[in-house]
Amino acid sequence: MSRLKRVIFAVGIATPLMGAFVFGIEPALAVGPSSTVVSAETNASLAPEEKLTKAKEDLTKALDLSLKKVNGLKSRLNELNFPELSREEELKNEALKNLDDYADYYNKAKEDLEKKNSLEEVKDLAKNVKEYRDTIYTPGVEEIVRFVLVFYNEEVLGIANDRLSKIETDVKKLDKLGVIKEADFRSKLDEADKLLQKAHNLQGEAKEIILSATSTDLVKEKKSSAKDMIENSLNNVKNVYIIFLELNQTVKKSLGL
Amino acid sequence: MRQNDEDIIKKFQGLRRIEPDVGYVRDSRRLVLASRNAPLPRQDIFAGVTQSLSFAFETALVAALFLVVILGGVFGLSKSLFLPVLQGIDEKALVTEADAINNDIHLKLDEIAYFGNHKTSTERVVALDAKRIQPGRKELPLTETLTDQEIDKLLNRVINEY
Repeated sequence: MSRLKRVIFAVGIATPLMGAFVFGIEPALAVGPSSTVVSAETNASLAPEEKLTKAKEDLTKALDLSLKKVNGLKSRLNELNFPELSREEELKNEALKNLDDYADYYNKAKEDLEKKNSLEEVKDLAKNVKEYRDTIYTPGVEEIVRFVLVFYNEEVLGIANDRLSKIETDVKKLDKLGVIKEADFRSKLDEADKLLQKAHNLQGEAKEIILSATSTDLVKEKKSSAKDMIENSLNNVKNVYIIFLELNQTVKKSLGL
Repeated sequence: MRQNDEDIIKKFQGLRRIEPDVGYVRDSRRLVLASRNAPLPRQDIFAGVTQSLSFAFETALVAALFLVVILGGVFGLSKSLFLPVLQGIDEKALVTEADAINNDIHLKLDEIAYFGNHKTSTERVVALDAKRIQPGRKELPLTETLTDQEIDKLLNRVINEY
């Protein structure tokens, strides 16, 4: 079962419990923005030893979260299965290798941090980590996220197309029984079909760009547009589900249910 | 006391001698004898048929109304049972799927936006905070995007606040 299908299944099972449970719990790694809201003045007024301790704590936490993020991306990549020796498989392995490199960097930074005995040293290390994230890690992760999302987009399109086929079959069945007229629903069904077709085309184009080789400036620019294509494609799918829900309500009304 | 009892007994014995008036007896006897030979009133056939039909009609009407009420209720309640299996427009499955997909897409679009538009960690933190405080916007759930934002915030704090 794919990740998204598992999510849909889990939502179906857990919906009655979700309100209290999901929003009530405080997972160990669920770091919300509120946990870090400590005013700059408070930190500035700390004693030098306390500043060093707190700075080391914060940097350790940042590095732990960075490692957690890297592992999360590795899991997402490993859920994607491609034919051996395909371009997709090649890019996936490349991305996994990059993630291993990021993890190595963060682990090395953690080791370095343990040896730091002054606030300035800790600050310098933090600056290095920040620089690494801005120049190496983030562009790399951005590419990995695009790669993962283009296949996520493909999966979502499959689910939405499947739903449209089922709805069309239902409308035809009810038309045969004489309880509704298919013609009354045709325009909405066609609208959904067109949106999905457009979403599919956008996803296809984005996939082609992402799978293309080399890292010339032209390709980099194209890759940026691939992000917009995925975004538009996913927004189309969202709109299609709005139409599906409208269709559901109209059919129910026609049946007097 | 004893004297009183004897008086009452005497009075009751006197009552046995009471008889109806002779004229009343004669008139009553004549009336009774006359009525025994009087012919019974003849029944009207048309009226009988009408009465029967009316009763049958009323009964049928009540039964029909009863059937309409009962069958209407049963039909209304079990209307969906007579319909074929509708996998596509099954409300529960569709709403669950739509919710899951919408939420998931929402998270993915946030992730695209976080990495897509802002190249430095400071820019990203500021942009995501601004996005979160937009009025009417649902609070972002815990996502990997938030993990990145938290990392960026922690690094900025170490560098600038101690």
